[in-house]
Amino acid sequence: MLDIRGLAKSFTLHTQGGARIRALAGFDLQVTSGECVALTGPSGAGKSSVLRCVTGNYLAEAGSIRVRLGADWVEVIGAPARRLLELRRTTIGHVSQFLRVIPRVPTLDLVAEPAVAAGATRAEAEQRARRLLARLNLPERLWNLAPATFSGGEQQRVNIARAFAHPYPLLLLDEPTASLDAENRQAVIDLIDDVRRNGAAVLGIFHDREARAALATRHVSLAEGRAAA
Amino acid sequence: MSVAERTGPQPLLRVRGMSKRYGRRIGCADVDFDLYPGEVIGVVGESGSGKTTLLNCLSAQLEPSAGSLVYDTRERGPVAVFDLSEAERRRLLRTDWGLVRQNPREGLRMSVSAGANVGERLMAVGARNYGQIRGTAEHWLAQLEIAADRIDDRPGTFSGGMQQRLQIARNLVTRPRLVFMDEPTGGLDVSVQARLLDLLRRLVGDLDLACVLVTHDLGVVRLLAHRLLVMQQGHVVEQGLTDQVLDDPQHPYTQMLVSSILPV
Ligand SMILES: Nc1ncnc2c1ncn2[C@@H]1O[C@H](COP(=O)(O)OP(=O)(O)OP(=O)(O)O)[C@@H](O)[C@H]1O
Ligand SMILES: Nc1ncnc2c1ncn2[C@@H]1O[C@H](COP(=O)(O)OP(=O)(O)OP(=O)(O)O)[C@@H](O)[C@H]1O
Ligand SMILES: [Mg+2]
Ligand SMILES: [Mg+2]
Repeated sequence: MLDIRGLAKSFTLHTQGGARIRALAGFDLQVTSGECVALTGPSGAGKSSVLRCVTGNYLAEAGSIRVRLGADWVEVIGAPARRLLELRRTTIGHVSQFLRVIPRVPTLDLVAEPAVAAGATRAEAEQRARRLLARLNLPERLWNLAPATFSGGEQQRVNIARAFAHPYPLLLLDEPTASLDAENRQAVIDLIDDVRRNGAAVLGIFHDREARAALATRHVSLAEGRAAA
Repeated sequence: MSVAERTGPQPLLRVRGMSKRYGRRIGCADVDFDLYPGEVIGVVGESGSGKTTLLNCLSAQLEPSAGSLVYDTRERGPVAVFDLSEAERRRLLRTDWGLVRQNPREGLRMSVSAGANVGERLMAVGARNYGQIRGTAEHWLAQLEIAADRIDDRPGTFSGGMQQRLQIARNLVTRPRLVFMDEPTGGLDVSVQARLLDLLRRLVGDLDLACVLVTHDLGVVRLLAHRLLVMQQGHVVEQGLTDQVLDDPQHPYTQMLVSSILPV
């Protein structure tokens, strides 16, 4: 599903005297359907940068990132914006560390939206959204409210629900279990594991040892922007 | 299915080398981009960077000094906009395009009622049945959350936020395919802005509108725009996917712009 070769990424901070920060160099990784790869490594090793380069949120500097789209492989690096948006709409589910709340949009609509964008009918999308929110223990009285006023853990679960709103074949998860209590963490772990068993390719960053042990079928450790032995 | 697959890979608007000089001063220079059906492109940059100049050239309000503008019409396919006659261009603006100005008083007729402001655009495209025109006007006022009992009031009796929503209703009533907006949320207080943004977001999605959205508010583009153009001194210095430009800006000017505001 995902084939990364020789990925390099650095940041040039023009507002700070042109300082250069290297995040990734010569990073390789392949993730196939039905596996869950856990990226590990110290803070600043480049884990989040890998995920962000795959979605096109960060502009990779060299190498190749290919994602399978139906029968084709799409090269992410250098792809036009429309192509990246299409990949996100149809293929890549993504949990970022924080939910960017859209003011005034009720939770149920927020969670249904990605499925509608991927081609589901309104009714299908809403039904799926309800099932997901129930499964993630989000109290039903919150479903018609915008998440702006929700607790950190509640927002996080809305965020996760959005990434599972459509059966994306590739999931990128940046600390999906952060800020959740034990019960909700288990609900999220079960959800991710089900989806993987049903054939999704999962690439995740799990700081929580328990989640990692329960989910990962393979570990890839990053050190200074490269896959460490 | 992608936007391109649904509608063919043809851009709705093709902009090449768009330049406008005011004497020796540069308004905008060498702007190139394609806009596809259903796509929202944001134009950001500091005051005086050329955003309004560019928008006015794109919407044929202003004759550019150089460059080409090709629009894919419903009937005839791609046409060079500045080769059209004045009358044909006006017709395009009344039917296929919408133009939302920063100051709603410039985009509205202040001497006639809210309903007439909306109905007038319908009549300009040939509607004649009074009952139908009024019905459609009511529908669009409701879409923009303007109470039905205000339909006979003049826009001068409306708040700034209501005037802006009325201006948008007036533009959308002919079901345009392309809308140009210059600071649509400028001059409104924050809660009114949030409500308007929300409405715009929904409408753009439901109507599959393509949109060129000029603003200096990065929060607005984060929410509405698929793609972003960053302008400095008349030039586009960076363009790309909105979240990429905001989260991983490449050009020194964009980095300055992004870092000089609170996180969005
Ligand atoms: N937008 C950015 N601008 C500048 N530098 C960045 C940016 N994003 C990441 N970096 C830098 O790139 C390096 C890798 O960061 P990244 O976020 O990928 O690390 P990480 O492994 O996810 O760390 P953590 O475990 O703390 O989340 C760090 O040195 C970081 O400061
Ligand atoms: N009619 C005009 N005659 C002469 N110069 C003009 C005219 N209109 C604009 N300019 C100049 O062109 C440049 C770009 O102006 P423009 O109005 O396009 O900027 P803008 O990005 O829309 O700014 P703002 O954010 O303040 O609205 C400025 O230097 C401006 O002074
Ligand atoms: Mg990280
Ligand atoms: Mg302006």
